Amino acid sequence: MDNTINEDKKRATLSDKLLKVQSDLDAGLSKGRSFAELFRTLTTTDDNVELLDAAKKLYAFVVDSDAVIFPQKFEASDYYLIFMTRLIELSGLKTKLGLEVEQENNYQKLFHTWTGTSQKFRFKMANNQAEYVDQATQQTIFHLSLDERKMSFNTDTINNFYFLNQQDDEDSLVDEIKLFTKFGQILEEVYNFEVDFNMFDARNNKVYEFDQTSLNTDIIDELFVDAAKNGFTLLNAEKLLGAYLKLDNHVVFSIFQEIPATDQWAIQVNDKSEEKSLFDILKQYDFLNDWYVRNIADLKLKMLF
Amino acid sequence: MADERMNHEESSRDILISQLKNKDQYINELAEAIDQHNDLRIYQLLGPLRYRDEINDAFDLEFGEYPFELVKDQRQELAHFLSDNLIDYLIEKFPFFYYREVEKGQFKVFFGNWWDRREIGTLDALNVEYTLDEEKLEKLEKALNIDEAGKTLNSDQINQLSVKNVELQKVVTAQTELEDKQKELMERQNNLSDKGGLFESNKIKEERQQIKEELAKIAEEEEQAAKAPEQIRNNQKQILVLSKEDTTLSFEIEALKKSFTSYSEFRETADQLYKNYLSSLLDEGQVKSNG
Repeated sequence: MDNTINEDKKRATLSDKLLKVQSDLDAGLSKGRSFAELFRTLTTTDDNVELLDAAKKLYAFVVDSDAVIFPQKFEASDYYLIFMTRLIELSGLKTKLGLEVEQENNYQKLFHTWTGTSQKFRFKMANNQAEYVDQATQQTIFHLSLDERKMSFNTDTINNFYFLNQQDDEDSLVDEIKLFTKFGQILEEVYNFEVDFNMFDARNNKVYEFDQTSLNTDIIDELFVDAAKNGFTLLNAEKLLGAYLKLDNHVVFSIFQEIPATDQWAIQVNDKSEEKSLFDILKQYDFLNDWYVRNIADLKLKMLF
Repeated sequence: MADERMNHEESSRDILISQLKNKDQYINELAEAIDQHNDLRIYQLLGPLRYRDEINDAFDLEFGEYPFELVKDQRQELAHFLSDNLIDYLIEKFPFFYYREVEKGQFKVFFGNWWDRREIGTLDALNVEYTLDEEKLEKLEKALNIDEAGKTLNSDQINQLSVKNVELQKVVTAQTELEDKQKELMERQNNLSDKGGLFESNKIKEERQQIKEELAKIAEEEEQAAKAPEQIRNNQKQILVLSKEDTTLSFEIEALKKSFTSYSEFRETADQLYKNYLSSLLDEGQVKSNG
């Protein structure tokens, strides 16, 4: 009697175990199937909402289980890269952005390349958001969080990349900025992202606030002298503390005390068609570029988030 | 005696009444002139003596020499009122002057609309007078008189400072060289100490002395080099102040030349504001009555 019971138990336990293995396998495989399904969506969908949804899910997706391990995988941050590539593709933009895959252990690492240069970019996860990093210099160009729906360009990188270190191929850099800025605009328009374009924002109502409060007025004096040498008159602002330059084609560049209570200073660039950003202006006029570089510590822009 | 007193009383009553009537009339005429914004008439009533002296020597002082004393507590209000047309006139004659009303009827005058333009004086709308800062204008006159191409009021000083900075920059760059030399000399000094016994040869003594002197010289140069960056900064600051002044003056000169053929023409026009303005009001009045 006792024996039969034990036998039954044993048999039951064994089959339980086997059943468990089988269900684990099923679960693991179905996870794999879901993964493949999401991956298919990410790479083939024409629907913006599905695209973002797939990228977000894949980013958090752990495809391996105890029972099933898949040998070919991407790093989580690469789903951001695929997402970015696809979104640009869906928007019909012509770019010099290329994709490159490198095999590292069990992982495939994805890189963006830029045709005609040796530059490579890749997303890296840091502090719960993705950073789009230039591989040669390891500088973060922008931060992106699909969960929080936020994107912001990095002030220090802008200063280092585009102002302090002379680049051989400035044309490519300008093209890259155009594309990355466009990417941000698409995020804004399509998904309602909050985007801090830093000095690449061409909208007239953009107030480029300085990172530090107060401004040594010597800096405005310098601008006054430099502008005069280049045939421009730095005019006195009437209603607030500050000054402005009327540049070519009715572009107005102002530097002014934005908030008297905190002595917060800022720059604003106004043009009819809202095509010119602070960056464009600084690059268009050598004297402004030199002035900015000379005072870069004081004029560094605040990152909004 | 008694008669004389009575006469006196009667005449004083008449005088008083006639004088008060005169004042009453003065106030009425002033009010009417204000009501019609007849600024020429207001200025006549405001300072008849000056009007007679500067504009029309036949002008009748019917209200006496200083009738405005009577309503002098209205100065500010009237100055504000008169500034309206006066400043319109001034903007035409001196398009480079800008006015800021600091208190009712009181104006600060700025030269230009550029960054940190100079406050050049004040405007008294009642007396139609600029009070200009002579010291500041003297600089402008000086700058105007420089006719050497490329030269400005401060260009010599700026050049001197720039040359100094180039020298100072050399001192800074030479600093590493100096350090190397110092190291080498110190090593030589140490080697000499090793050689030195009780009886040092004259040759060694001489060499030791020479090294000591060279080291002292290097120490001095190093001290200079250490000070150089700050001196460079100070010079740059000074260059900025001077360049800024030059820039401001160049804008002032450019603006002035657009409206006047010479500095003295500008000064004459500014100094004879009362005469010029009231004459223009007179002309205007004639045009009006002719039309």
